[in-house]
Amino acid sequence: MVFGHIPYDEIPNNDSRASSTKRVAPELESRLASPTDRVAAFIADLVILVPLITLIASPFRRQALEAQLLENSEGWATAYFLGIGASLLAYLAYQTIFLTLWGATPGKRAIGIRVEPLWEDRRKPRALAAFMRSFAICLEALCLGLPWVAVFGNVRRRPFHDRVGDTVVVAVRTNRAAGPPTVAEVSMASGVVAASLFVFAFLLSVQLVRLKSGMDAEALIADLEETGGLCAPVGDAYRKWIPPSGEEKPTRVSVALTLFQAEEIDDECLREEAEFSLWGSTDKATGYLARGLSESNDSDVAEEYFEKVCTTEPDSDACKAVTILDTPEVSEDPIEAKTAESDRENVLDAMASSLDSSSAPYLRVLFVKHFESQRRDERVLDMLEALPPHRALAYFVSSERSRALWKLDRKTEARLAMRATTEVAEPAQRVEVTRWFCDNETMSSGCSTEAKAACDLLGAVVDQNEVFLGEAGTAVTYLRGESCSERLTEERLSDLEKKFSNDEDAKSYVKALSSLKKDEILEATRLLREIASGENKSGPFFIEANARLTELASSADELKGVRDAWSQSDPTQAGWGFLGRRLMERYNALKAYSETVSVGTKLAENDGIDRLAARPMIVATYRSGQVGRTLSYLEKLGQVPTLESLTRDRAPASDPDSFNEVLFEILSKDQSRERAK
Amino acid sequence: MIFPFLSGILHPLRAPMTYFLLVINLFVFVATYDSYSKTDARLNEIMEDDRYLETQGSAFADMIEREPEHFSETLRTMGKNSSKSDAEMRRMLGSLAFRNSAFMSSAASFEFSGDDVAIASWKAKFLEVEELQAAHPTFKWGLSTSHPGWMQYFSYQFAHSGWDHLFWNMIFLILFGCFLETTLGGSFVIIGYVGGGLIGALAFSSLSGISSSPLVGASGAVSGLMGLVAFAWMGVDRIRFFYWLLPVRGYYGFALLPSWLVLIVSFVPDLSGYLSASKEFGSVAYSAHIGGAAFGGLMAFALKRGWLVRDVDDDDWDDELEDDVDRDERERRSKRDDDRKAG
Repeated sequence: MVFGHIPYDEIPNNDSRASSTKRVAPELESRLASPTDRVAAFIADLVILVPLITLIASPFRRQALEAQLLENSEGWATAYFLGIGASLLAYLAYQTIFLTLWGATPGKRAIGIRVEPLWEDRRKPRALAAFMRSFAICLEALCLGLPWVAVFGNVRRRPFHDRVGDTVVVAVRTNRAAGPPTVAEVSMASGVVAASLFVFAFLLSVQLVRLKSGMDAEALIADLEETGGLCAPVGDAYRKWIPPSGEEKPTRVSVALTLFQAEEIDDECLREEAEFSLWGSTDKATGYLARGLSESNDSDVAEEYFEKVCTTEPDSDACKAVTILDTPEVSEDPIEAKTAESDRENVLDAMASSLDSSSAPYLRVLFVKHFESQRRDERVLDMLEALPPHRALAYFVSSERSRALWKLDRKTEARLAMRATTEVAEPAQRVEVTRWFCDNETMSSGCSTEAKAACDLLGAVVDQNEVFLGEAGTAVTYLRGESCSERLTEERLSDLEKKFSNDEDAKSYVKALSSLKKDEILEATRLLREIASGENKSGPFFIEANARLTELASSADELKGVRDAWSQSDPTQAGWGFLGRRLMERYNALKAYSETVSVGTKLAENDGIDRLAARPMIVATYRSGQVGRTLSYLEKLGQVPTLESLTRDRAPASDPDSFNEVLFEILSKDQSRERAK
Repeated sequence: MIFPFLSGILHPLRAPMTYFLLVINLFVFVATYDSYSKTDARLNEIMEDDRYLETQGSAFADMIEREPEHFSETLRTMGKNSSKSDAEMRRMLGSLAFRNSAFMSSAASFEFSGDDVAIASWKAKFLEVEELQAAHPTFKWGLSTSHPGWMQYFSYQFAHSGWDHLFWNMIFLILFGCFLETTLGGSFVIIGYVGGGLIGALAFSSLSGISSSPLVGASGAVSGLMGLVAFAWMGVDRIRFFYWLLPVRGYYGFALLPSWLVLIVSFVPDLSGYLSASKEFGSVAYSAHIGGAAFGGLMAFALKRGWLVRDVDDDDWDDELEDDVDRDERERRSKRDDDRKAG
């Protein structure tokens, strides 16, 4: 018996803190086990406990693993909790049995410490006390072992579990005993507890935030599991897809392909859908087509898949799509090449005309893109009209429609369509469509009211989310819009300079805008030339600086530098056509017709000439006496205004070299010739 | 951390049989290293190719769906799930396919129905995998469905899948081999090693089943030696362990502890590994370790009954063994004292 002789009233009634006023019985003080021994005993116990607990929990581990692989979350949770329960029982049994039998676990025995009851005249704790003590250790584990720190702070080195079991841990040999904790130990223990509580509170709050966001993800996963789908947007679109009356719903992969062509899903998503279709043996031809399109990085593999489409189902819509996507080799002989292209267009036209309500929706989307690339905007509108009114395609249909209307010179309708597009678009899509309009409005009419309206829409989205300014093209258009805005004060310019402090080109461009605002044309020209002569010969700021220099030029000679830079830059780069058209229009405005024709010819060879770009070419070719070419560009206009309407709309003092005057002249001559005949 | 240190690493002349086994293992590894390194890099490259694994997973799922009778319930469910789940699931199934003998033996000629372009590309690589495996030393020496002959029941004990695999097995071979050789004799080391390896392979083939992934390594054989020490010294004497509890002086060093601790620290984890690993997914041959240890236990039983040692009376066996250990301990102490005096 160790403590039996200590009278009850001599035992401190509050042993939670070390205090100089409290004294521990001298005999006990000399026998308290050191914290290091207790840690070492715990580790020694783990040598036996870990293999035993792993053995007991192993059947549950196997069940949990299999349930996880089989995506059986209920089975996994059951096995997991049973495993934890079995491990806890094993731990309780180990502690209770050894403490009751020996007063020490094997680890404690090996180290030379033992557990004794504090109040009773016994050397070993009773079974109930040993069990309660062990159970308290399990509770301490839930608190990450923090209560154990009390071995440094409690006067008898008794953490929570010793107090629950009314026990104390003592050294078998007094020369290994530690005695009561010192003031330094108590201070350290308090510090550790305080720091741990702080860290715990911080981690808990972080976890709560994560849990909240995780719940949304769980809802998505639940949705995927419910539909058995792979790609959530496709699953969603497929479920809501309403086919035309009397027609069958398109296959899932067909919907995925339509969304991919409409740029609503990425190629990874399309690949998953394609594999789902191919390995599930449903709509294999479309599956191969989708798989080929998802291989954007490996054209050889994509080609293999496209070949497989038509060998699987030669008459399928997927095979027709391959024909649209196919880019035939261009013959070196220009006549042959033109004939081949014309034949191909005839085939595609016939195919487009044969589409009906049962045709796959992705075919129409492909034709929209094809006709857009061919600058046949009436056909683009036809195809868009026939697309099913689906929410997932709303942005694609609306944005394509607004662009096509603009190119057809139906600008008022185009602006209305653009506004409708912004209603259905995501922020990134809003940036895309408003940027396009801001670019084209400013190019067509400078800082007009309409241009300002379009650029203001872009500015509103970008100001809300400045991450979009990271893309140089958006930044350029945004700054161009700002240059038109009435709010471009000195203060605003200084804000913009700060906003673009990390981008040298953007900063110089803002400075150039500032100089232009102050009518310091020479300084502005210097700054713009600096950007134009920079390392990046094809970036948006290079294009924009040259476009601005084009505007500032007052003679054809001053445009030479810009023209040379444009001629040397890569025609495949974005913005090349834009700069070429600005250059052509400027030459035309300066009545330098041979340069206009020269730039226009190069533009037509590389980028094509649309309805708007055809106008300066009509003026320039007519004035430079190339009447044959004038007529071919007149064809580009599509519907030519009548002589009557031109006569009615003529302004009394209009420029004789303006498009309308030249057109009036051509049509008048035509009419005179007809009358003479 | 605790592990049996026994009599430590002795001079080769004191334990020639142990070092003989070590040399054979090293020789086999070095001799086959060239073909190992040539084939292993390419094999790993293919096995880690995501696209390859995904297609193999889909192909495996297709085979399971069409011939379900050849596959376990777990694989059948996984196959069903893989067709409508993500790429990760297909990759996992693709990895499992490498271990599945039914798939590996018939995949080359099986008519899969799915993405024909992907299948054609996958099949070309699959045939390359087959060629590489045929040339790979672990497949030649190891016990697998492609090499299930009686020779492999012995040769697998001397083949290893890498330097780390060889290193750890040889460390334990030296620790247990040296101890056994100086206490019981070299023949016990040879019989324990080869017998442990043989019974280990038999246990593996009957409990886990031979798969297309080869069984290699001396661990089953070394388990025989470990089992022999654990059971033979049980209740007879304590053996020397090295322990490291804390990085504080006095909490690490050597201790004489009961030999059954070897079973706790080595074979209980093996048993739990065997019980918790599903047949399709395990990569460690737990059952081979258990089989090896069981053989060691049988040897110890025979030894204690006096069936393996002539001129030793059954009743005197414990005393003999104790004497041996005591003599070793005495020798060690007197050597230490001599060293001190000399110092």
